[in-house]
Amino acid sequence: MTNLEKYNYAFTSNFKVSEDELPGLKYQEIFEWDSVGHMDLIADIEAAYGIQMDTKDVLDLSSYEKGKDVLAKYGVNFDE
Amino acid sequence: MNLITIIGQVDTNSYIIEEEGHAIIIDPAEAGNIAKAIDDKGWTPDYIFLTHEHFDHIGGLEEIRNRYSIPVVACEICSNRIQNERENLSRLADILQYYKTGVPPEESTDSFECEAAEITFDEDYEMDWQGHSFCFRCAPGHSPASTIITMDSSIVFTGDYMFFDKEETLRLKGGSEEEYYAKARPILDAIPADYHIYPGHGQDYLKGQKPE
Repeated sequence: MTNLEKYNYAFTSNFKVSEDELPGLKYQEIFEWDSVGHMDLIADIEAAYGIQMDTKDVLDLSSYEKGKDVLAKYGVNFDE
Repeated sequence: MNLITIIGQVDTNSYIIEEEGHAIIIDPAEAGNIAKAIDDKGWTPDYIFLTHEHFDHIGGLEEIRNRYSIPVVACEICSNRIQNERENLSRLADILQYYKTGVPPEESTDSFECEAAEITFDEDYEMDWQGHSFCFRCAPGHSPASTIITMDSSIVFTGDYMFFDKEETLRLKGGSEEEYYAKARPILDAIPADYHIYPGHGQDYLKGQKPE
């Protein structure tokens, strides 16, 4: 899987949404992406890339797009 | 017999059961107050029991087990999952605290992992201690390692099931609504109304007094 595929899968598997619904998706915009869902999302993202995010970054990951910016800090390249 | 509640992190209930100067600790959330209670009374701890693997129930586990050199009793899945910071959820403990309190953590708290339990079982386990009988039953749903511990024919330690005034959470990592209804719920429903429920959070109560 590419980094983008891993990232998308973390969302689609946790929140039961399709990839088409990911652009613009924000924290608490859907029922599944609440505080509990957010922890699941973070756990899967960390496992997918083998990283450990700072608490501030975990809280900053508040949208699908914002997450890509946050993960870039950890060396995750979505253009590969 | 004495049964003491010690409240730890995330308002988790740890319980100390005492009989004839001996003690069992259930879910050592934080070590300090548990050790103080035991030492002040001069009790001799014999065992630690775990209802499940989550960080807020095992935060004081290593300190207590090492302080008193006592064995931990837990299901095999629990024993495995307390050894992993992601599976015991301590990796994201500060985030959970933030969502609960609304206060952003100033810095990331340390995640932690525990050693394996000394006494493990697959599905059910029974043991006697100081004239009391204990029955452990695996009841996944809240977590894969959730276990319901019945003491004699009167007391049940339910872990993160059967809170007095709120619903159980089945959505944490590893939780399963399907397993809850297939395995945990039948066990919980079968508890007689006159049994005393000691949950992992909140007040204890007689099952028959729980609000609908």
